[in-house]
Amino acid sequence: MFSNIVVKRSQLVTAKIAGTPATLKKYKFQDIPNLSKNNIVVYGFEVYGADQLSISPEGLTIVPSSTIPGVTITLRDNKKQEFVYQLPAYSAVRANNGGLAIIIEPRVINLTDCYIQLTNTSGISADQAICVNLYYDIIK
Amino acid sequence: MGLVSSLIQELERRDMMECVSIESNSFKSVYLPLYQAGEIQQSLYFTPDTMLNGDNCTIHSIEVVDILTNGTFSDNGQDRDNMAVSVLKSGYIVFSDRERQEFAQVPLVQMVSRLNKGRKFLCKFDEHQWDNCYIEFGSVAGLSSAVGIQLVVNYTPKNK
Repeated sequence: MFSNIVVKRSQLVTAKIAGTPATLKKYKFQDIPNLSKNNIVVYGFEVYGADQLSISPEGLTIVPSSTIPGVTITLRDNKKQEFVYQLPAYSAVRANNGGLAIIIEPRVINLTDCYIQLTNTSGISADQAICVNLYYDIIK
Repeated sequence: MGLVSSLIQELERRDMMECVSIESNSFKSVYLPLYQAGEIQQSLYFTPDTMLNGDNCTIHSIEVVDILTNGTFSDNGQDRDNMAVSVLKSGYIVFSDRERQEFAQVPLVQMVSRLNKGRKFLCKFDEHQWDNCYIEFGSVAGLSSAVGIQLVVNYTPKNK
């Protein structure tokens, strides 16, 4: 018996912790032009620590998994609504949640308005990154 | 509760969520041997396999087999080791269509079922071109010609 997200399309996105890590500062996700179209709806996501993906496709070092409990994630849609607000990143790591990814009501997001915040900087180094896999579909 | 069940029904209708057992159709083991030490972000393409192209099948799930799930596999008469998770975690798969448009990126570790409470990586890929799909590693540590990657692909052939 399976009960989980079905991936139709996905995109790895990263938020780089530029400079000395600081609490409450907003670290925004880097733009992915493919996701900036209005005919794309995101319907799920999950977060990776270094135990799942140690280096991002851009070559950034991903934060150690032990530091994920000190990270929150906020996602905003194209109407500037924070439909995921300061969700503990730990809750979005599939391995921590019975192998389940987070499923949301499909909506258009504004990726460069989405960000992560640190509630604890210990163990995180400058210029490391958080990696998130966004699951999306194209509205035809 | 009603809101949640409505959402589940809507996501199932759009093929975005699966709440039933997979009507299993066909499983196939696919091997991607490494013939050299490997380079950072070198694209390691899959061997062409007509049956696994989106024209001929829909892929429902893929499992990456690590060394603790199955130690070795035989590739053209040569035994190779599957990779340890410590090596797999720097890699990811990129799925592309016939026009080489990349439509999905998935870390290899996410597809190791035993690390995800036994849950399979579920998908619905039917526009892909198998030999346009590839794996990249962000680190060469642990990559050698003695190892390879074993995938188990669950698919349904398309009736033509």
